[in-house]
Amino acid sequence: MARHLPLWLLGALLLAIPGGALAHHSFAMFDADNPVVLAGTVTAFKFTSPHAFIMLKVVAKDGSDAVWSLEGVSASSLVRDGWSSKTLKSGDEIKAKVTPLRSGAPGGAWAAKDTFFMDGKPIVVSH
Amino acid sequence: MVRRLSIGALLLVAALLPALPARAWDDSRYPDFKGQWTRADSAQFDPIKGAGLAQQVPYNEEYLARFKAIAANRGTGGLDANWTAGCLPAGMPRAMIVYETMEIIVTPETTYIYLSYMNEFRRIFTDGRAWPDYIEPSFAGYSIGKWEAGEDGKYAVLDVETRGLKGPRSFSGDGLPLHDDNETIVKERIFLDKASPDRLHDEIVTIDHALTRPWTVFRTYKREHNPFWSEFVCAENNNQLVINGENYYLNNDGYLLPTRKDQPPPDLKFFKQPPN
Repeated sequence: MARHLPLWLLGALLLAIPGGALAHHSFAMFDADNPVVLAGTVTAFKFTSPHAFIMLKVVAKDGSDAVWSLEGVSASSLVRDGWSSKTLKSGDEIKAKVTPLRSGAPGGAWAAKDTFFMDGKPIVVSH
Repeated sequence: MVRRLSIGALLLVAALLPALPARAWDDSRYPDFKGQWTRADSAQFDPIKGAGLAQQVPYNEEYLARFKAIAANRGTGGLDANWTAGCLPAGMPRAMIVYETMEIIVTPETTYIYLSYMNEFRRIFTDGRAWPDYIEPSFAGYSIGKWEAGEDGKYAVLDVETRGLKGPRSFSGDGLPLHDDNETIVKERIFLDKASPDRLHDEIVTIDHALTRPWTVFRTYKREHNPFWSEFVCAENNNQLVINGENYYLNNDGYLLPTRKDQPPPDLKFFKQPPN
């Protein structure tokens, strides 16, 4: 049975999401109540509209791996935070706090402010 | 001698005239709307209020119930009334949230507004024309404007009315719907902030049959002094897919992912199925 969010919580979630991200589609498919921290290796960084994507290969404790499809704001929004198409590349190791798909499939939403290189350094130094 | 000098002066002026820069029109009469504008307030349609029901849209009973059903669907991970997810433009009045960037180009007969989000383009005709008998509907609508002079006699406010809208449209990303009949009329007053010329305001009044009264919101934009001129091509990497009312997530490897637990796969009845 699908979990239904009460209207007041849905409103609060909408407020918590950067406005530009809401421009394209509702983020209700992501479970903002239960974010997860993923650490892994970038397999692709797609600096695109309507969303920039990080494809992140994550190795689980049992040794199995999955490539997570992580959706962010648009490329043009990221530029205003100092990002470019060259900010991340295949092979970069990062960790990110993401809001995963409610379905449990390997997908979720990422935000620049919650994404760092594995050593903890910010990916882009904001001014 | 004097006569030769006068003729000489006239000839000199005549020779110089083509070299002088020609002014097609006097833009000093118009406010400086040039440059890139970005949103200075929230992405909720009424920026001073919260999301969803907290927007306090003056809906009639029918459309309040409609929105509650939309919100309930969203709560399960659905994309009800989320037409921009399929790359439809926001349309008026939602386009004036200005999710990305805005550029305003003023000419005497027409003011053009380019909105990079979904590449929406508005023409506001200021040539004194009357409303046409028939308007082919569009998401941006058909806009007629009139300049209003300020105390100094220069134009200060652009009064705009927009009709001829096409749907489906919502007020904002949370799916607040406008009426299915698309008979929305949007009235705007667009003007620079007197105290801060790098601030632009748009007072937007929406008249729509989903509402019990006209709804007025006040939005503000800021002029960017170091603009990045972006393009927004929604179809470039859109991963939202609605199939038979169910929305799925297309991952970047091209596979469909479910967006909620126990979501059924798409119906493949038109595909040849392997024998069981």
